[in-house]
Amino acid sequence: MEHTSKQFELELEDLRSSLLAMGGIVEAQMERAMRAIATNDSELVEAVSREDKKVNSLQMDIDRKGMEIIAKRQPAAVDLRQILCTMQAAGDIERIGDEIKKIAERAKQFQANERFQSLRLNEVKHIGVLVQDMLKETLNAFARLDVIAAGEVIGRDKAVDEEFERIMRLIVTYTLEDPRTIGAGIEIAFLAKAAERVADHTKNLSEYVIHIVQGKDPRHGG
Amino acid sequence: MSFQVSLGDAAKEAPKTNAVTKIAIKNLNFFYGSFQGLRNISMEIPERQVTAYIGPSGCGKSTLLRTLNRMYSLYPGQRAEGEIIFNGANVLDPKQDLNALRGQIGMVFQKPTPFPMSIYDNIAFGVKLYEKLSKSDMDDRVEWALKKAALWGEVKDKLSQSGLSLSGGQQQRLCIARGIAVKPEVLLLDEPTSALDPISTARIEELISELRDDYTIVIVTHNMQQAARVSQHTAYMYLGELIEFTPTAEIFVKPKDKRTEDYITGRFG
Repeated sequence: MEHTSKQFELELEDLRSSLLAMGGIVEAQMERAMRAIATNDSELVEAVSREDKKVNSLQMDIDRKGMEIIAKRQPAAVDLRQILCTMQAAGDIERIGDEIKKIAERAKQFQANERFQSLRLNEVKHIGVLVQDMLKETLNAFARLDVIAAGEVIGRDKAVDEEFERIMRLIVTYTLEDPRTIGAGIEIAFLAKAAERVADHTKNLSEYVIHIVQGKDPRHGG
Repeated sequence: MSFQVSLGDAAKEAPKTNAVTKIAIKNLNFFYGSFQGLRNISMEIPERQVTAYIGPSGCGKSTLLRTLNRMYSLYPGQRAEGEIIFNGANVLDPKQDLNALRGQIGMVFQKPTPFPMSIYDNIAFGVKLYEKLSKSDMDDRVEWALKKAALWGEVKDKLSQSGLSLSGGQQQRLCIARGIAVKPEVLLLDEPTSALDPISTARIEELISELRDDYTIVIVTHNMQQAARVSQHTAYMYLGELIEFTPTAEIFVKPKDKRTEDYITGRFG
């Protein structure tokens, strides 16, 4: 059922679409960052850095709008949960943007250093694909307030953690075999860590979906 | 000024399920002639807590409040069926002594209703109905009631002035002082702040939080945020039915019933 106040309805819808716009940008950013690792296109790295500013300003917009709605409407129940979770989600998406920026900056190192190139792609490609899928699914779940899809995404975080562990073991093996790979190994470790952090924030986004719809806070196994 | 009972505090207190029941309502039905105003209401009002009734106009919340001290008995054609157990007896029993009942269950109305007499006599008038006090005891009682109602400081130098000379907010606090002067056990408040400005409203809400230590308070309010601020339990009523009765901290964050959610989020009609 819609609110008696159409204006309130519009304000909530506006807040929601800002968040989805923010999500759309980081989804494209992730794709750019992964492509930047695989290619020597330095323009991609710059594009990531440029677009991240839009993400930051959208987060500030969402916080401002959310505060305004709370001050004006004194929202309760599902509306209150939606506003608070949207503001928190904007924080997570902003952090996702920062992590992606780190990935893109690592990619620059790869592009500059011949020796890293043989190592780079295969080892991080898989974790990149896992994280990209999670991000896409979680944003869809947010758009549709789909609790089942959100729960499914939460379950996938474990696979990313395992993949991260696997990459760490590989790096140790490589660097023990050939100390000249230490520099590349460290770069890959940072890169994988950033991807793993994106997955963590993505998981948070799915938890907000559950909190909005069901009113129970699933964080920390709650 | 800070409120003693915020939503957060209420949340901590909410699971106090071992609260003693002050008034037990069982299968209560109420009729205005042939129109049924209340439908099979059952609930237990906890002692020394604030219970709030919310709901759209005509849902029966004021009707329910008026059954608790038999206020409706003043009007012919109105009748209640069922049980309201208070101190071991059924309030609805025709043999119930209404004067004694209303001494134990006081009421404050939407519009301030001071008597056209001095501030002092406004308080003393009710007390004289129930108790014979000496002049000095009565002075003490008047001071006590006015202090409890957070009005003493403002009126102590003009007790002989007419109650009608006070501002709306002061008049309402005078009515609350009058209500508690007879030392009731329960205080019924029917939209006590709807005619008051925000500062007077804040004073009365603060007062409600303080009175909770000694009295069981039942409040009807159209202002949902007020219910959220002052009460520990909230009942949502609709078309004469009790839809939901839940700790306040829960009902405004995660109501159990879809109809309650629609009402408190403004998705109504």
